[in-house]
Amino acid sequence: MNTAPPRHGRESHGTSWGALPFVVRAARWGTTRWGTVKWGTVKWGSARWGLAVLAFVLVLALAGGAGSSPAEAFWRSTGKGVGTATTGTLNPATAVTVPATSTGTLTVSFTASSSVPAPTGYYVTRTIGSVASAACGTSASALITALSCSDTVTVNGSYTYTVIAVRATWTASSTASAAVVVGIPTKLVFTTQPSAVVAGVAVSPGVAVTVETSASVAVPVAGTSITLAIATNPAAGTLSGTLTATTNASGVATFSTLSVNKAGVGYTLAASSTGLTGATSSAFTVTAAAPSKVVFTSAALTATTSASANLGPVTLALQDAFDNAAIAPTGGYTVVLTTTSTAGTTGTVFAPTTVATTTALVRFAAGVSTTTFFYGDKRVGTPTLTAAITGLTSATQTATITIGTPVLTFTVNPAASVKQNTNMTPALQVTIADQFGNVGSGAVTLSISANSSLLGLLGTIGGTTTVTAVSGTATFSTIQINGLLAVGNGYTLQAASTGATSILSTAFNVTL
Amino acid sequence: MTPNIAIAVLPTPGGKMSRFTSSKKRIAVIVTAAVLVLAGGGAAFAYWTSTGTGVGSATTGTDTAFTIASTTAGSALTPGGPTDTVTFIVTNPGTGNQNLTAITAAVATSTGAAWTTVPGCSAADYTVGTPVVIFGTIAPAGTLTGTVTITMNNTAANQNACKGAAVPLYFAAS
Repeated sequence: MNTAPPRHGRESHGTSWGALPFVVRAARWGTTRWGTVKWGTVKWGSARWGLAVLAFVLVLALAGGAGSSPAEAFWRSTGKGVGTATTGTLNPATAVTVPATSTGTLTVSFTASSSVPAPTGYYVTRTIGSVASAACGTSASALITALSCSDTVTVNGSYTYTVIAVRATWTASSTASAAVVVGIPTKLVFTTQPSAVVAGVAVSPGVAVTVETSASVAVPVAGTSITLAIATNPAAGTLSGTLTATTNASGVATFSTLSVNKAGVGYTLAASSTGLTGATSSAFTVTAAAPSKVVFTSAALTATTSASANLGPVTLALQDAFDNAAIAPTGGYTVVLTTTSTAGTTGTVFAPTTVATTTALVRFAAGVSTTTFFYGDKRVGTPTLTAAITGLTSATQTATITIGTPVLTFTVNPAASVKQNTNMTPALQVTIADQFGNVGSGAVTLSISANSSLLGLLGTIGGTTTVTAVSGTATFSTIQINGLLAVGNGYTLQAASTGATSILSTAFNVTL
Repeated sequence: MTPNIAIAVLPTPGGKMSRFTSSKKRIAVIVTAAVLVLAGGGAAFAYWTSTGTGVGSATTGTDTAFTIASTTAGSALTPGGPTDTVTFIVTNPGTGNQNLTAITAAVATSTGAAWTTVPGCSAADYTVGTPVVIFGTIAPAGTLTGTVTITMNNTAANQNACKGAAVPLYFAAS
């Protein structure tokens, strides 16, 4: 490696002469070649030569004494040495932190590398199993300088995150983060199904709906809003209570105040949440609550006046507070029936059957929800019937009682002897009323029913023979028996009115 | 080679001196010249030349290898990062002058061999500049100081292997 130099050397400096005393070197620039000058060879006879010699010597003296340095000798040598330069390093980011669970979008945060100079930036990877992939939209060529980033994961699983610091060609990977379990909410599932419940009573235990992944793994995410509604509604029920709840940290929303007001079989509930596939519960039954009232369930009826219970059947039912048909408890209920009829208790009758003429108990047997009764009233009108059960809300219904079969009655019969062609006096009166004295209405027509005289057969009835009853009485003021040959004995008048049985007056004679 | 011409103003045994007495001016010139020569180059004196033999001995010295020490200033090297300046000192430990005419610096082992201590990291990852020093003779125990720079290259390949590496520098002087 080293070419051996001469073991020693000598060198001149500049244009000076390397000289030892009395030894000089000829200058390169001398234009005159000088040979060795020997004593006595110079022709000193020439003044010019003498001066030249003197000048030359002087120049040499001056050059050697004042303008030059001594030549120096040296050794040539070699040597070697070592040194060290230190290469820096790139420290990784630390404290890479992720949440324990996530629904797909999570924040990765970390502490910056302590290296100086700092990394150019960072990129983040997520690892599931042994497969790592870019995260946070970063890569070796897309670095971030922020100390946190948001990553969206589309596949459920347990992930760890690593932050790689980058500076030029150097990279430094952090220690992997703790695992984050990613569960992407996909659907809702009833994890506590609704159970049979009494109308108006909260379903217990509370219905629970859980957010789950597509793999049916619960997603432990709080704050997801879930709403319930009736899906299948067999009895037009209404779902009450808190119908919207949010999930807890386990991803479960619990509905503890749900109730349905209408009894029915086959109810189902539907759970819904924005962005998630909904769920339908299993079917459940809503039963009626305890009876709270008695009601008339049959339409208002009409009947004629009667001494027996001819109006009906009138149907009574037990209902709970939500109008559901309820059943009588053990021991049943006795219904107290009353009426506002002016006939009073003696003129009215309630009975379980139509044949009763006296009031009998009407009952709800244990386990039944309906019963019937009949009503009889001797008085025309619209009495209000009231059904009452102790402890329950009573019910009322108006009945219509119409007059019974009209009966005609001559309340003023013809006199025993009347003159022909003369108005009968006093005026004849025919009343229309049922058997209970309820007056009727309508027209009453009189006619000659019969006479026992041969001549009498020729008599005819005159005057106004058809009169409309007023307050149940038809007054005939102009009734005559007319005809030249009307005189005779054994006349009777017949009074007739629609719907009523005709009646005859008392017999009378017609005279001149 | 430059011819040397010696002019000796020597009294030669048997030489004629009378020619110089004829002219006071010439004598004055010669005397003046002699004085000047003596003043500039030392006193001249006349002597007889002779010959003779004798023996004796003297020990000739020899060269001694330079020693080179260095110190590195600057922050740690990083890819494409700062340039460190290494100051080296060449010392002549010998007893005679030694002339320094060249010095090289490279990333290499202490024997000048390729540096392979750190797998994946080599001298190619660094660039050592040309040493800057004023060459010349170094007196015994004397020193010459120079500098050389070193940087870490920013290559296209990953250089993680070089992180934290102590990079050896090898100096060779001549």
